Amino acid sequence: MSTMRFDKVSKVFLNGVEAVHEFTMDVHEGEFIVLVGPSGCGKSTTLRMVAGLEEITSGDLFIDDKRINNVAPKDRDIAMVFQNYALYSHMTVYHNMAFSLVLRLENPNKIHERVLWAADILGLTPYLNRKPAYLSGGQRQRVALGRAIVRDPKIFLLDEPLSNLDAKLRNSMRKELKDLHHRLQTTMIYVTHDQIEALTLADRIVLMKDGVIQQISTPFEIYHDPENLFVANFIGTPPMNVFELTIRSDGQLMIEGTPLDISVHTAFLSLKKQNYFGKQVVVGVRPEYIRVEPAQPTAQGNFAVVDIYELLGADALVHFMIESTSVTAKVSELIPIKAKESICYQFDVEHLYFFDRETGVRIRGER
Amino acid sequence: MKSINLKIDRMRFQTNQIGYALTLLSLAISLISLFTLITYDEFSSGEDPIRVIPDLRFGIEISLAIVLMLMTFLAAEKVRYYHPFWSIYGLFVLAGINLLRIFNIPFYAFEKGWIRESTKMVTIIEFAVSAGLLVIAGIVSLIKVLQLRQHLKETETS
Repeated sequence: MSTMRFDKVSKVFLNGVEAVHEFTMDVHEGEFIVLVGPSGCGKSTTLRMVAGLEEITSGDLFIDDKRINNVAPKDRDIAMVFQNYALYSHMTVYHNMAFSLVLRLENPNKIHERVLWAADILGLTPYLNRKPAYLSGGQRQRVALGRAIVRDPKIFLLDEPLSNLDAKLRNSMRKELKDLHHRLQTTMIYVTHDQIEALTLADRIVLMKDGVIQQISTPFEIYHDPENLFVANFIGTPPMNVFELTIRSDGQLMIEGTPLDISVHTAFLSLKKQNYFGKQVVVGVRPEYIRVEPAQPTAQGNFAVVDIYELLGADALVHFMIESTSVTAKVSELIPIKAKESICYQFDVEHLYFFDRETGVRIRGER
Repeated sequence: MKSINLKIDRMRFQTNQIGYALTLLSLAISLISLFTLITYDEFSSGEDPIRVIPDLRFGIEISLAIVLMLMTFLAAEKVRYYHPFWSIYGLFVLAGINLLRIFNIPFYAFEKGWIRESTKMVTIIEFAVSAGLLVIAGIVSLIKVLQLRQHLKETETS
């Protein structure tokens, strides 16, 4: 197990593009870190810098307090698993897994024991004599993992290892990865653009955008306590509903001139203190924090007409419009709602997020 | 004991490289011996060049050599994956045929005056080496196959 420290690590490519800007964080022993973000946000570049496949332009990278900026990739004791598996097609599973140890001139019996151990962990023992062409995608990915774990490296780097798998296989592999991390207790850095993978696997998530860290938090925090509008929007399926609202000087929220029936919340005090009254702000609310029920004459709240009703199984998504803004609410499938029928909705004010309209930074309430 | 078992256990996933390499080497030497033997002309500028004059027996020998080489290659591939028949019997049969060939064409061609004595000796040595390599490959493969068989039997029962 190893610790790692990024100290203002930046990467500027020869064409002047800054892929990573002052990436700073500490990775603790045995931690599972997931770098997540949209394409081109610099997560893979960061991983490649750790692996030594990309040169660090500025800043320092430490593993176990040893600066490794100029250490050759082979001497970093890091194993990397690639998206496309990078298996040797002419070698059997056994030889693919043993290859790195053979290159290191390890004792053949030790290599054999390590390979059998890794194969046992990954459930690959029956396939050891097969070539990659005769394996399924999930099995190939497990071979790629096996090739990494036989080396017993200080740190595992995984670059979108599940991207080539179908949804069902990805789910099962995700569980296997989590289980593997529990067993090995090795520091892992995992790159993905899939937020579900990030939320389910990570001890901590690093959310990046345009080479800049947006937030480093646990999955729970990043979901429930986003730092800014980008984080709030990126994490969550379906994504957070976002509206531009005007806060009147008397504290009434207006959406496109229509008052919204929302009771006073502690965040409002903060909004008032920070002089947001009389200004436009961005408000976000997650779909599960919008209460929806069929419209009844006695019901209190705001009213709308359902555009689309999507049954997901235990839950359902209700899409409707608030003025010109499309809103999605996640409700229990037991609530009798149909498309084109009237509904009454209410926001859970405890779970409203306010963001500055210009900067997107979260306006936090006083708690 | 443990290291011996591990060594044998490795054979479950590793090919018989020694048997394979020795058999292929034997094939290569067999090929060289054929060319040594049928040297058509020594490119001597003299009036009386020593040269092989092809006849039926020589043709049969060449055909046999080609078939044997093909079989040796097949044997190499089979031995590589611990094929029981080729590892236990096949290589020895091929070696025996190669040994018998020593007493056929080299002597025949020499008696006919088509090759020099030195060429005859080189050919005989090449045939012998080729056969010897097959015998060694056979012994190695035989031992490995028997060890692997026993190991798999023990693994299954445990």
